[in-house]
Amino acid sequence: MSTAFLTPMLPTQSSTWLDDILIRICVLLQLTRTQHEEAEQHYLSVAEWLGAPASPITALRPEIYPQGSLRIGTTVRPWWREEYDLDLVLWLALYHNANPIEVLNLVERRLRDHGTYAPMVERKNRCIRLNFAKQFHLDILPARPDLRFGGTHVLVPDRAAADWKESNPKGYAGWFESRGELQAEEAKRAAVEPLPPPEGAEDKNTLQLSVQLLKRGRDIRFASTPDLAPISIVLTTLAGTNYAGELHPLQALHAIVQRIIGSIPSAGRLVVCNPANPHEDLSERWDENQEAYRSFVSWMIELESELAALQHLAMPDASKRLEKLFGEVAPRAIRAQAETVEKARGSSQLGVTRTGAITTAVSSGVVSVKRNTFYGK
Amino acid sequence: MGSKYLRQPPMPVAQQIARMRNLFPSLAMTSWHSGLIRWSGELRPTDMSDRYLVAIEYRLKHRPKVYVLTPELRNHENGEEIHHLFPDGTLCLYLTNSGEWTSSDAIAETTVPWTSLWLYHYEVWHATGEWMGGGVHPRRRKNR
Repeated sequence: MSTAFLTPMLPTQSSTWLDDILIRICVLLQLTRTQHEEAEQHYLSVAEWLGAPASPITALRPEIYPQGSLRIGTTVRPWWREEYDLDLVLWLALYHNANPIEVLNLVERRLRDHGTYAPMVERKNRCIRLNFAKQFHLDILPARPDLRFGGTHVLVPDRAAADWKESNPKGYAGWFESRGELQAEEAKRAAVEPLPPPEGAEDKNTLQLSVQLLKRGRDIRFASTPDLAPISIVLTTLAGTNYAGELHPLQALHAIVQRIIGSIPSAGRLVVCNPANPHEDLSERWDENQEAYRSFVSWMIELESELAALQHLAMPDASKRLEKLFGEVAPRAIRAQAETVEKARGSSQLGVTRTGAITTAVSSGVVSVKRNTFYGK
Repeated sequence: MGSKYLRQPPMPVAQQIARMRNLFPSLAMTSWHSGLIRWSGELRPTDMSDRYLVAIEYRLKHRPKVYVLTPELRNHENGEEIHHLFPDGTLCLYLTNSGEWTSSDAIAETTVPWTSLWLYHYEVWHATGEWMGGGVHPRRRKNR
């Protein structure tokens, strides 16, 4: 029997203050603007080094562009260390079937020739990693055009398989962006929110936020069993596929999880294909690791009931639940929210509606909070 | 301001009542005798807050007293006592004799918004262990 029958499909109640906390959680987990700029400077310098006149790669007209979470705006700091994993494609004008390991080695050698990069280089299966301590890992993934499919399709080396694998990071990003655009823009503008949008989330859409929450939820849930954790691209693809334009993060995440549960087949397993390369099964490792698949299904069912409960909980209990789901970043997000309230209060921009609700949206019927000092023990 | 405190006449009780009815219709006047007015009703500082039943008592020229009736206010689970409460259990919303509140001020425009803000910070304190609403703590400070 499909587990879909166990899940009542009730509309999620949206709480603007709870959504504000969820958005702040994402902001606290993602790259800051400064970190983003630093990452960009670093990879542009890498590109320059690889494409310098003296470089053996120059003839291959190397180009570097971000892929994955860096490209689609869903970065999440891993909870167990400081460094973000950032993926970059190193596009090379290689039109013949070169040896994949030789291509990886070529890139590695050139990076090792650089005084600063040499000690940072780490050899990986599909990429060469540069470890910028306390900042990020830049994973540089060589790629060559895939002439069979053309367009944005590329082939990437696989050291273990000693072969080239299909990939399409630009196509994937295009798909993800189009899914995020399902969000109703006019609804967003019409909403009167009690708080200004958190700094750092101004240009994020609800799908991006949902993916960040899902990835963070995964990191916490599988903290002690990382081998069973579903990989980010599977979660991102599931979120994009099951998003239907919901405006608010809690509502969106809950609906996505409900739809994922609804799509779990009663026999066999859920197959998550690459939307930019439909015959590529992103979830293939579930074939070899069935325990990982079962853990994923249990997690989805747990998460659904957690999210269903969350919408009905008042503050102290809601905060406990948020901390359980997303870790210590949850109380930090609540403090950041309170700081915003205090900042508005300090600049006389805080008011209270007829029901006693705090708001920074001044309108008629809103009584402004006059200057006061809480006193006494 | 001290000058305001000395010069302004107190706001007549009838005006306090009218102002409350206009701005916070959910806070109903439940009694008015022997010079003591009592309003009570629900305040909910955010849409993820509890609904608090509060009572406000006011006697002309005295400090407005705010009681939280339900849910019962409680200490933090870490044992810390509730911040900014008078010994009688009413909320400490302003610095006494500082001019932040004088009897010429409308309770609906001072006490009520401050109560909402107090309740918000009370919830944040329960959630995070930190009182983020600022203020002055005479007794706690002495204990250090």
